[in-house]
Amino acid sequence: MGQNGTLVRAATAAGRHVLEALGEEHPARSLSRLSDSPSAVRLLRELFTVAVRRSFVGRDPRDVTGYVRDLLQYQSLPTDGVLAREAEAVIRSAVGEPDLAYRIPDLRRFELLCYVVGDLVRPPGIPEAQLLDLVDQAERRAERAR
Amino acid sequence: MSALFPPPPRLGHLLRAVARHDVPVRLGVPAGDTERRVWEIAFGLMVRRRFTPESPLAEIGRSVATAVNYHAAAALPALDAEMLVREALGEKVPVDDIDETVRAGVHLLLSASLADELAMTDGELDGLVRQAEELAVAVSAPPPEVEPETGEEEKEEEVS
Repeated sequence: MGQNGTLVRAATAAGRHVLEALGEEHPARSLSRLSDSPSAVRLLRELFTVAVRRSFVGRDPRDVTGYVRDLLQYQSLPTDGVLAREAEAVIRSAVGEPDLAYRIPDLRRFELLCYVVGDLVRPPGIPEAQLLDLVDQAERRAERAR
Repeated sequence: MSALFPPPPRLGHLLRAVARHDVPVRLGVPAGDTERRVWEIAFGLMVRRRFTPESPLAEIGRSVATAVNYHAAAALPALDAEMLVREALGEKVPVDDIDETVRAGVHLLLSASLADELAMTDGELDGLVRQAEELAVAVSAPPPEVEPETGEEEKEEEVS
């Protein structure tokens, strides 16, 4: 999914960095390299929250288990161990069960967040307009939270 | 150890103690594979008595949260506990590499908490532990030996 044409439409520099990373060959890895930018990290957290809530609020939490298995399989990561439980905890913590993820170290939480956000552009990926809407909403939330 | 007064089953004793809020100083962990298996089977029986595979996750989560909060000193990870409950209900969930101590803690404390939720009597609890012990024996027993067929009997019948 090419994001180059959308770069100018992100309101903030952080938004442009995130969209740029999502256009790379390995989006999750590229997103994780934004960890030295506090504004990009803030935006990524909000983007993760927005994306996950739009996908999973109102659904059976068991759907998260299936999604995590699919995500980790796609990334050739182990699907039956602690990584899968942590990924499920991080996602469910964003949809109303914050206690589940409090033991997970920040770095691991950030890595998992990058995988989930990067998964937005897994082929065929969500429509470009929808991605821009998500980033726009995340930018507004990040701005409000400052 | 006295042979005249054999000790009660350890799991039954512990379960009753925890369910009565008379928590032993040391909960301990299962001593060997057999005991570990009994704890696991008893936990599965208890979980399936309380929930069905279709039970909403929120309902399971509430029971897990109750047990985890009540036994906060044991510091059980709530998601690991929930996954073990869902596994006992037959769901395919990521439970590899959950530490044995965590498993033992979940099996004991959650079982006791569920017994409390179900308002089980001591007799019912003992019955469940006995059933778990019988199942553990049945599972670990070697299959009966079968005499290899030589085919001689059939030949004899044909001759006569």
